Amino acid sequence: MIYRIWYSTEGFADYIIDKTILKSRKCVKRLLLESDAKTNHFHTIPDHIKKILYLDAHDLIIEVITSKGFEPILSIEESKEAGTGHNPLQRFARLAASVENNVPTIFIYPEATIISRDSGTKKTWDKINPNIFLAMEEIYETHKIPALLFYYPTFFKSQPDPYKAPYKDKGRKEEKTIKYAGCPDSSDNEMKALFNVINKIIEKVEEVGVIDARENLITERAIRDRRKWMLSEYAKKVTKKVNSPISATTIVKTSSLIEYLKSKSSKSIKIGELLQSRKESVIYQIDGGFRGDPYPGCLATLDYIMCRNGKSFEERDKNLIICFGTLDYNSTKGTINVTDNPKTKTSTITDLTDAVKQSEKRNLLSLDFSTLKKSQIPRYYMQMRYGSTFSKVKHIRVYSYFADAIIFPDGVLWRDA
Amino acid sequence: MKEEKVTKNLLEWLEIENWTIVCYDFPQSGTGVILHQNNELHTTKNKGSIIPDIVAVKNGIALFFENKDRFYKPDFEKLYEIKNQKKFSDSLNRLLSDYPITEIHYGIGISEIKKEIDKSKLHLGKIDFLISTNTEKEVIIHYDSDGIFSNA
Repeated sequence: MIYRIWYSTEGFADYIIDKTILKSRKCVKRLLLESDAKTNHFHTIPDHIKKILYLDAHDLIIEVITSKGFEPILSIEESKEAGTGHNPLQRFARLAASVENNVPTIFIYPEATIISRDSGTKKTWDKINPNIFLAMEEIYETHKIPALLFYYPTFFKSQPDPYKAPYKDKGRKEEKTIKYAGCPDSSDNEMKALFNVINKIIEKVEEVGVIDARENLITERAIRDRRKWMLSEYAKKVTKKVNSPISATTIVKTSSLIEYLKSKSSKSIKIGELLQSRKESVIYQIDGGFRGDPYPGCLATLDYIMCRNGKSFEERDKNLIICFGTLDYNSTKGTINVTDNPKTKTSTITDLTDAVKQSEKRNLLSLDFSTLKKSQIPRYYMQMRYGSTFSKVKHIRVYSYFADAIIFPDGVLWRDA
Repeated sequence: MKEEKVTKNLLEWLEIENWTIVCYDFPQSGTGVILHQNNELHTTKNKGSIIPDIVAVKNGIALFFENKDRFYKPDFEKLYEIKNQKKFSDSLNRLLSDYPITEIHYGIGISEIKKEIDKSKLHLGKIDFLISTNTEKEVIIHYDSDGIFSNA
């Protein structure tokens, strides 16, 4: 049995190997290529890994190689960002993609980070948005596959006064050894708990095989305890204040949405059964320019928190809509209007189609075989199977996967089924 | 050799040489410190900002590194601009405020690949030092215009 560690930074791969029982196992490391949109070598990534990367790339994936084949057993995401607002949800699409493919996922995120404002005169501990706990619980519960959060070690608990806490690394406790530069302090209890869970997953895989391990992991004590801890952290941190991205949503009658879609396309057009089958729709309003991060992850979050009713995105009790512009919903009249906000950057549907067109430049399928470079042949063959699935930029992939419709002041897109 | 490894080799070497590391960054590390342009040029939140790959200090001298796994001309131009146009002086002074710094030197860290170093040597006029490193963690000083590494 060999473990293959797919990584985006080699130091983090070394850290996970050296601090867990992987140190005593045979491991090989390989650089994880994000997508066909960014590199010409993405086709060399095995198909089962590509599937996890469909929405977004992880920091680390642990794969086991046996005589029976290759199976990913865990993905890990690590972030050092301040946790307010949209930030902790920015990477949620990749966590969801892992769990949707039956691969447990782990997210390492600081409970709080020191942020200095006004040229350093004001300092605060910016705390984690508790909605990340809710979203992770939803993917865990929906797919019955562990999705666990561990706090990136910080001085937040030991020194809640941001002026007295060590400001270096924004209050985070990081490894001192350069080999693990940027990695979380491994002597911290949170990291010890993380290593314990990773060890349990590996031991379970070695004991009963990958498939049975997946089905049984949720009964493991260490994993159940972490889940309970996450729920208690959510309960401790949630307040009456509605946090983002939920605070940026409006629930509308789907009949109003359908009228808006028709008004922006054709009054006579027949909208398909999928949208019509749900009485209500959640509209996520982004009052600014069309772009990616942090919105793709937030859209995925809203799916699981507000819409999802089963394992597939088809199983929702509300439609999920993303809106670029200022949304005006009159619930009495049942009308929707979307306008440009003169105070923010205007978005048009052309911004979206331009991003799609840009991605198409990565497409080899319109080339004649004689014009293909020999090195392009396997990439051409991958695209022959998957089309532009992996060639589009991340936000286009995520928006088109999660959103039932995308609406702008000047145009709309929707799915019929 | 990836940029991550170049930066880590240089960090280890600087520590052995008794330099104090103020900050560092390599792709995907999330460890870097953002330097904004001076107020009069700082338009939107992070527009035009930079993240140095290494800043280290010793005996009143600060080093500012841009590192790459290969020759990358824009890095040379960037360092020349930072040094001569002083667009980031406010942020840099804040970053170095805990240290009594009298001079800052700007240079490139690169993989020990002959053709990449040869290309780099055609642009030495824009930088103060050029240092390479290899998989054996050896560090070679190719250019040190002010003798920083022999005198500091």
